Amino acid sequence: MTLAVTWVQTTPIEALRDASARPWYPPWRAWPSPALTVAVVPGEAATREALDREETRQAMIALLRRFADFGLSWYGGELAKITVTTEQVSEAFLRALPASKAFPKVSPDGEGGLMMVWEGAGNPFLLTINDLHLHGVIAARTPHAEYIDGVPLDSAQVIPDKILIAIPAR
Amino acid sequence: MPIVEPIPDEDAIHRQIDFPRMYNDAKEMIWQNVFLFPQGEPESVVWGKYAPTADDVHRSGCNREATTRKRNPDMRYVGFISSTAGTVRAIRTRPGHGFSVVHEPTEGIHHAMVSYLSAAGTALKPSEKSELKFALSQAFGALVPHSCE
Repeated sequence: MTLAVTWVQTTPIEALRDASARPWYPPWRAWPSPALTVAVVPGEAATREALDREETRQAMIALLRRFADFGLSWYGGELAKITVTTEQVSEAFLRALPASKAFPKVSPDGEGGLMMVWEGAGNPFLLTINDLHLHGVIAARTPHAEYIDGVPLDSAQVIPDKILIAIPAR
Repeated sequence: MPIVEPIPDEDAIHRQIDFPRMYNDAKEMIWQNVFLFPQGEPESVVWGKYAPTADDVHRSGCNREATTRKRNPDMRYVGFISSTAGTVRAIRTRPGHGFSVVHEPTEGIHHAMVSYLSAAGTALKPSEKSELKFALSQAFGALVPHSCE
C-alpha cells in the first residue's frame, strides 16, 4: 500500500459514470491513474463540477507519475525526475486539496522535488515538495514575501494549516 | 581558448526551449520551469551579440536538437524566450538573492551562463531557489515559436 493510499481514503462513485455527458476517459488515458473509478473527496457532494474537478485531480496525479518515471526538462536531453517519495507525497497532497482551493501548475524542480505554483491574484504562492518536507513562499516576489522551509508533513492532516491557508481559493 | 568577454547589461540573452512531445497533452497543467538549475548548476543562454536575429537563435536550436535527439528521440526544440543581461542581473528577492550572467565561450562563442548569486554567499534554501526560478521566468518574454521539422 502506498503512502498516499494510507493517508486518504477516497469513495468510488461508479454509478455516476452513466450520468456523465462527456466521454469518460480523458485524452491522457494512455497514462491511467491507479484509480479505476473517479472518486470524490469524502464529504463533498458528487456534482458535475465535483466530477470535473476529480478528473483534473486524477490527470494531475497521472502527470506526477510521468515526472517520476520519465522526468521533464526544457533544455537538452537529460530529463529531471522527481523522487518516488516526492511523487507519493505530492499525490497525497493533491488528494487532500479541498474543493475550495485552486489546483496548482506543477513541474520537477531539478533536484528530485516537485514545484507547485499558484500564480494568480498578485500574491503568488510557491510550494516545493521534496520527499517528506514542504518548502513554501507566500506572496513570492513581493516586499512581504514569507518563506517556509522544512515543514514536515502532517500524517493526520497531510496539508499543514499554514500552507493550506496560503493556497489561493479557486 | 576563446576570450571571455563582459556581457553589457543592455545586451539580449535568449533561452532556447526544448520540450518532450510526450507531455503535449498535459501542457496546461505544467508550470514552465524553464530554468531548472539541476543540483544548483548554471543554465545556458544564447548571447544576442553572436546570434543577432531570431533565425540565428533558431538555427542554433535546431543544430542542438539534432544532437539532443540522439540521446532522447522525443525531445524537440520549440523556440526561445528573451530578456536582457541587465534585467536578469537586477533580480533581487527579499533576502537579497539574484543571478549572475557571464560569457562562457567554451561551448560556442554565443554561449553564456546564468547562475544563482546568493546574498553574502550563503547556501540557498529550497524556498529561496523556487522564488528565484519564479522571478527568472517573469524576466523573460513570450515564446518565439519554431519547429525544426
